[in-house]
Amino acid sequence: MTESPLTTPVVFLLGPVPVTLPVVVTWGLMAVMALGSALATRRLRVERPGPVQTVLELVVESLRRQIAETMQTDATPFLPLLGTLFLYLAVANLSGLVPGLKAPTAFLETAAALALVVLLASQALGIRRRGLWAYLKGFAHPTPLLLPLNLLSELTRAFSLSIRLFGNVMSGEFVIAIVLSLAGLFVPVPLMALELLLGLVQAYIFTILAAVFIGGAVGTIEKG
Amino acid sequence: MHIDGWTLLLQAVNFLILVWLLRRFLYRPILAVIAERQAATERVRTEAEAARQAAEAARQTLEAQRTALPAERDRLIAAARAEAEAERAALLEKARQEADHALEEARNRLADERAQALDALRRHAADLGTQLATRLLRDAPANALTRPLLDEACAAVESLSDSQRHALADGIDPVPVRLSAASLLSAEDSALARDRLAAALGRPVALELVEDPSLIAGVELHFAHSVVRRSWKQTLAEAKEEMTRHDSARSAADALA
Repeated sequence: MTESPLTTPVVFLLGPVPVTLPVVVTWGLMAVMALGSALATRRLRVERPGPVQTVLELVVESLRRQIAETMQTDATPFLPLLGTLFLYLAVANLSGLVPGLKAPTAFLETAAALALVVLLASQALGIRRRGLWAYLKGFAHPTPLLLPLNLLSELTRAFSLSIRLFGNVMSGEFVIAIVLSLAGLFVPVPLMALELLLGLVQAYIFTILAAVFIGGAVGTIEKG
Repeated sequence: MHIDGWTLLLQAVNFLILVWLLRRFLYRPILAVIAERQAATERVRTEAEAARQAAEAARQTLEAQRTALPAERDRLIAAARAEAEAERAALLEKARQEADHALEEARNRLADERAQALDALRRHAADLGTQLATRLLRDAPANALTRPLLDEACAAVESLSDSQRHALADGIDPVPVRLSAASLLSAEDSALARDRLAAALGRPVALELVEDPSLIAGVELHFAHSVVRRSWKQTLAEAKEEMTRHDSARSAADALA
């Protein structure tokens, strides 16, 4: 444990672009998730679905139901974004438990990128759903005096979103690495089990908060 | 603490690409199959609901029929009773009419038979009376009655009109007249009769005298086409006829009463 957890190691350079470790790991995870989905959904059956199809339907339907309950509206239009957010975060968080891999979400750039996507998506969806003027007017609600604070809260929400995710995942992995270097091979196993739970919880929290932000932006729930 | 902008940008792009990939390979097919299953389920549910409603309608129909059964039964029984009562009344009326008719026929037949019997009895009585009178009159002195009856016969011819007397003569000269009497007339009586007839007819008369005991008493003047009867036989026959006609009319009146 010699390098700082706040540094992002560069794997290779693509011209002037440094391709860092979280990007490479994310590509791998993307390949696994996309190929897995393509393979699992090749032969879907309406009647008597197989176990894999059943699990996939359960996951997708649970995500849709959870998003709908959070946003108080039909979740189907938001399912690709928020569902992918949860699945990617869950897979990315848990990937840190694989020996030799480091979770992409343990890097601030990944968490910031996801928070940035959520921020931009909430603005775009809010404008598209409510109209530009009505959406902008929402920042002056309940009084124009609060306009600076409302604008600032948009940014701080995204910032807190990314920092929360980054801090939890990074700290978990860091603690496991420290314990592993100090105590031995099997000592960090309970901590890894805890990290398994924390990874799923963080994915859930990030997704729910994103749903709340987007729901507030499109007006289906009260803006928090 | 340093944030690599390239990494941030690449991760954001990676995430958006992943959104597109999962939307293409995961959400769309899974949601499609879920929607298809829900549609199938809804279709089955709709069919089941339609079947349930049909069953419920059938049950309600059966229930209504079951509820209506006692009323229908009572109605049918009442109708059958009314029909039987009407038929019984009709049969009774018909039987009564037939009995009345038979009774009337029997009465009529009895009245006819009674009338016939009475008529026959009266005829028989008339016959007996006639026979008795004939027998009694046979024993009476016929000659004493012949002259008055001859006078009546001649007077009857004389009382005829000219045309009637001319018809009696029938253009024959002398006029043939057969004079039947219960006993042969005396010469005086026959001459008197010839003279009175010739005077009445205006022509000479050829008188043929015939004895006919069946006349009992009296005479009969037989012209070519007519007969003038003045005899007890004739009188008894007319009396019998009148008596019989009178009795028949009375019998008919009794039968009608």
